[in-house]
Amino acid sequence: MSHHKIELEEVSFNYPDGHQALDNVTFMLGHGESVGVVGANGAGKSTLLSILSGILFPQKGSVRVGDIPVTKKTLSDVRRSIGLVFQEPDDQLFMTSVYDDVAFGPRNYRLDEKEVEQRVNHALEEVGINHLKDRPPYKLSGGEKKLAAIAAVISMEPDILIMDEPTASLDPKARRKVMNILKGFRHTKIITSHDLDMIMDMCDRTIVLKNGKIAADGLTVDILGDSGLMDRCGLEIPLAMQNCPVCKKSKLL
Amino acid sequence: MTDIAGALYEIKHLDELAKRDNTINNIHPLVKLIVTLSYIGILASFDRYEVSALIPFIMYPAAVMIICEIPVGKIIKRVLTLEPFIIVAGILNPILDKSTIHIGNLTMSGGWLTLFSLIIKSTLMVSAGFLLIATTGIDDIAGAMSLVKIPSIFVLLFLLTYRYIFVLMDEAERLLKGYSLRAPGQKGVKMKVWGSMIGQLLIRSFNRAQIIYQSMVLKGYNGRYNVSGGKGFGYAEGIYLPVWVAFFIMSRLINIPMFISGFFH
Repeated sequence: MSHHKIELEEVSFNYPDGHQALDNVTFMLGHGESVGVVGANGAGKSTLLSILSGILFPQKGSVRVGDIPVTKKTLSDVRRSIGLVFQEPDDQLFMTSVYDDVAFGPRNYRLDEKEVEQRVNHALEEVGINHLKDRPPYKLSGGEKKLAAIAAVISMEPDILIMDEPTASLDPKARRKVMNILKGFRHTKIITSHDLDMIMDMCDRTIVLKNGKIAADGLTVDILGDSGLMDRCGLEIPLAMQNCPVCKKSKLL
Repeated sequence: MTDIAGALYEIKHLDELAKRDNTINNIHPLVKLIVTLSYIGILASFDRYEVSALIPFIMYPAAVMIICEIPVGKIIKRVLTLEPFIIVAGILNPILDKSTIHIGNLTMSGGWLTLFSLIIKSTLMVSAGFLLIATTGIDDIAGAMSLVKIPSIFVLLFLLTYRYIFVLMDEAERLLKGYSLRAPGQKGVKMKVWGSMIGQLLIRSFNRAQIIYQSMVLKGYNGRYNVSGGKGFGYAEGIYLPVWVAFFIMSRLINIPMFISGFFH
């Protein structure tokens, strides 16, 4: 049995105002896979993440995490194996110090304070912000907040890491740092982003969403390099694949 | 606009002071909670015409501020913002209470005396409350509340209300910033947009509170707020609690200023 797989079968979701955010979405993710979910604004990415983490429940279809179907009864087990990092770290950090924020999850699982301390220190070391542990989160820079939010999730030792726009509003160095940290996470990863260069760098597989439906699912290089598909889905091919702006030479082989 | 941001920062700063390492901050939160509650309780038990016996009670906030190096200005600023409410509560006393009180050779209106007494008592109580936050921190106060078996629903309400204030103020600041940048030269917000602005504020802060709640739930939150019970009881607690409580009781039973002035007559 693997805890690290995710299976969605014909999942559809409508918001109360009638807007259909997901329409018959089916895919399966295996252990250790690193998958990028891309799509234009309003394509259904955030809804998909909310459904994967059991914040929303689909009206149709089923979601399984590991071998457990995601229902209200299994939520606590499911959430133990999933770690979701929000797009806005300010929404995720609510305690008075970075340490307490990172310890919030482990403490909820009733681990003894020694184990909590070990996990917190390990998580902080992993993202390289041990020196910030006594600082209040609201005083950190954007990049540091993001790292603290990632540490807060890593401390729960999830089997699957889900990231909503991990590199949004980060400076180039902070972006690279976050990417390197995520690369070091060996378990299953799902990353939604508009930063297609980052997706290309981090994910072997990419799923493209368009109006709540899966428009394409396959190897990242094939999908992101398909300019017709990208254009139809309101996206562009990554900068790294575009022609050189100076000599106009194609970077595609 | 900047006022809200400043106020927000100041409140958070108060909470942050509790993270510093000093004798009182390191004392068990439960002990500090009991000391604060007994201080407030004993102050409240004074007769409404009592003024002179209240003076020794200034010792407690003064001592805490000195030991913890808490900037006096910060606490005074906080207390002053609440002062108008206290004055409003007692402003009718001088009119309604026409009795006269004799203190030595002085004759004073009982109403004015009760107003003074109320102001002194409330100021001391409010400062004690702020000092509890500045030396203990909200999370540890909540931990102490759970230790004395206050139902977890109340502890939770206390904590989440505190958290919600920040969410609300944060949203208010964003709204006002957005407004003022497009309404140059205007003082305050036009009455016409108050309705939509307050509505927006409510919906936005509600949405944000919900996202924060989701984030808590995803981290295994299930209605119980687990704060570290880290600190234990030691010598410091054994001294701090009885010394203060004894001092409060003594000051309650003996009117120390009158007692001292007795020496000189």
